Amino acid sequence: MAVAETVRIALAQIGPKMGDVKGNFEKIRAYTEKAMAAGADVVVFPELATAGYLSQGIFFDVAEKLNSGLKALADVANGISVVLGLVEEDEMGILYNSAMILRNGEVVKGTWQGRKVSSYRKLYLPTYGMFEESRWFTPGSGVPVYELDSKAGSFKGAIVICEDYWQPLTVRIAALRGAQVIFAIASSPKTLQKPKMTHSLLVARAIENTSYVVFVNQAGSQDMVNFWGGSEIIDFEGNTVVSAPLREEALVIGDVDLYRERKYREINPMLKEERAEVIEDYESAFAEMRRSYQS
Amino acid sequence: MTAEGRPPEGEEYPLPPELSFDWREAHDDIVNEIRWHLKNTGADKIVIGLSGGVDSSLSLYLAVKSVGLENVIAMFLPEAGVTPDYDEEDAKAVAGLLGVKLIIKEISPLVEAFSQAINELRANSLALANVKARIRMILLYAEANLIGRAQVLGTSDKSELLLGYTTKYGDSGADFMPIGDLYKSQVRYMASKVGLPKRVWLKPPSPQLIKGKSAQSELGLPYEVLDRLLYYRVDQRYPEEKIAKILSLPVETVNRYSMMIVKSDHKRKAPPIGKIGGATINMDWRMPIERRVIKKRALISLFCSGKRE
Repeated sequence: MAVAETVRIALAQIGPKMGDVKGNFEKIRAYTEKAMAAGADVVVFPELATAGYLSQGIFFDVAEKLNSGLKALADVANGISVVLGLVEEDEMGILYNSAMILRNGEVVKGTWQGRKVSSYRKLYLPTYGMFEESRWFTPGSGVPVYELDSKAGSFKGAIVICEDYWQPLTVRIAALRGAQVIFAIASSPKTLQKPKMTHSLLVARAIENTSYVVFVNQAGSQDMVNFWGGSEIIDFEGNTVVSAPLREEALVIGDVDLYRERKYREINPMLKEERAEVIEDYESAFAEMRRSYQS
Repeated sequence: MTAEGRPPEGEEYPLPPELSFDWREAHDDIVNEIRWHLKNTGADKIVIGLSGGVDSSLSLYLAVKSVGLENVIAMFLPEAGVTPDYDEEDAKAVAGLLGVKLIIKEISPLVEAFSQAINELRANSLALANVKARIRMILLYAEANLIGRAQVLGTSDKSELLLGYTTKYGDSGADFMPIGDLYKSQVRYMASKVGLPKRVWLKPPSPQLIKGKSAQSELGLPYEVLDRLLYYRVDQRYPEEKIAKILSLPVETVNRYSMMIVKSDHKRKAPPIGKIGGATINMDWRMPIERRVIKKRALISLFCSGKRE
């Protein structure tokens, strides 16, 4: 397949209801159909879109109910890739805060260290302040890259989930694996500072990796906490291409110009400049930091 | 000013710079939270105890903004000889301004009944003060039960909650506390910005449980200072010595308030449950509030296995 120059992306900024798998899948399906009608190649849903974010003890129930909904959604997704945040339960009964990509009745496989994987599992599970993800979930071990089809040809994308983009390495790894578009999906609880901080952070991730960042956040309230929405596509120069409103559910469509992105990487060679030796020193510094904590 | 209209440009409460915040954003956040809470607890009405003070006045304003004045009932629960006349005037003024139904009920006969039943209460002003706050809580819940599908909105602010300047199961006995993440100064500031009467947001705070006692006379420092102290201790996690320097206070003073936060921890938590089994409530069994509604709706059958490829 040809290499895509432009890809149309739909940001499905929904507010899932905690534990209401059936209702959430109905909403996800409706948004997917709307995105298809708008000619989108990809529709991106937030982190834990099937479950709600603050679901605590009902994450287990949610994971159990996942599969039938997934299959039905994949069957609807004709000619569109659905990036979906969900609770994944493995055969051992372990839960992951994951994302999958569905298309043409199938789960699209990602490539990770030469292997095929069917989901991306969140690497950094925030467990501080109001967050208690490590209580429910197990972290994943790496960032797969996905070869995705579009009307204009194929392109590469990768997924990071919320806390993952607060840590620069996840997005860096995705870019080094060749991702042209980073799907940064989130369930970000609103504080007065959070929208501005998150935007600044994502602009930095986009610029330092010369990649499009597609940010999709939940919108609406759960347990007296507001999820602020504000989804946006940010280009490799840090400009906002399209953005969704704060707080409210919305479907926003934007195009990414991957030809321009590739040309821009000649001008601003952030990825060409990267050196593995620096990462080795990072490992060393990290080990020293942990040792200094122990002493 | 109306509950629905745009607040006029006017005077504002002088907020200490550390506590400055985007009041419009905070206002909209709280409105969303109130709406969410009602929707997900199966309620559509709110009962609020209105004292004529700034916390309950702003809470009432936000409740009306959230669910409409026809769904909000304010109760003014004075005690003869203790509640000052200006509180009644202010409660009536705020309820009138917002167009909310105001129920006025004297608590004096109930206070007297408790004092007769437990004679020692007359000699213990603290115990009696707590009884008064709990009588008000009982009346608010009775009203909520009588009208049905109603939630009692607690009006405590972050300053009172942190210092434990509340009566357990009294004023802190409520279904939810929308302004509990705003310091008193921030409450006064927002009240001034949304156009509540100046005398309400400038009035020296007082629980009016004991005649003539203001919050400052009981707490020892004005809220302008206390709020900054609490902000540095809780939001910034500064040590007491550093806070004392910033606020030009003796470190012993800062320590005293820091200790009040620690000692009142129990007031901010559900009663601890002794652990016996494996699924102890709140310790192991942790569930979201929204679940109540979910259980009725989310029942789908499974026909696929959970295998990861």
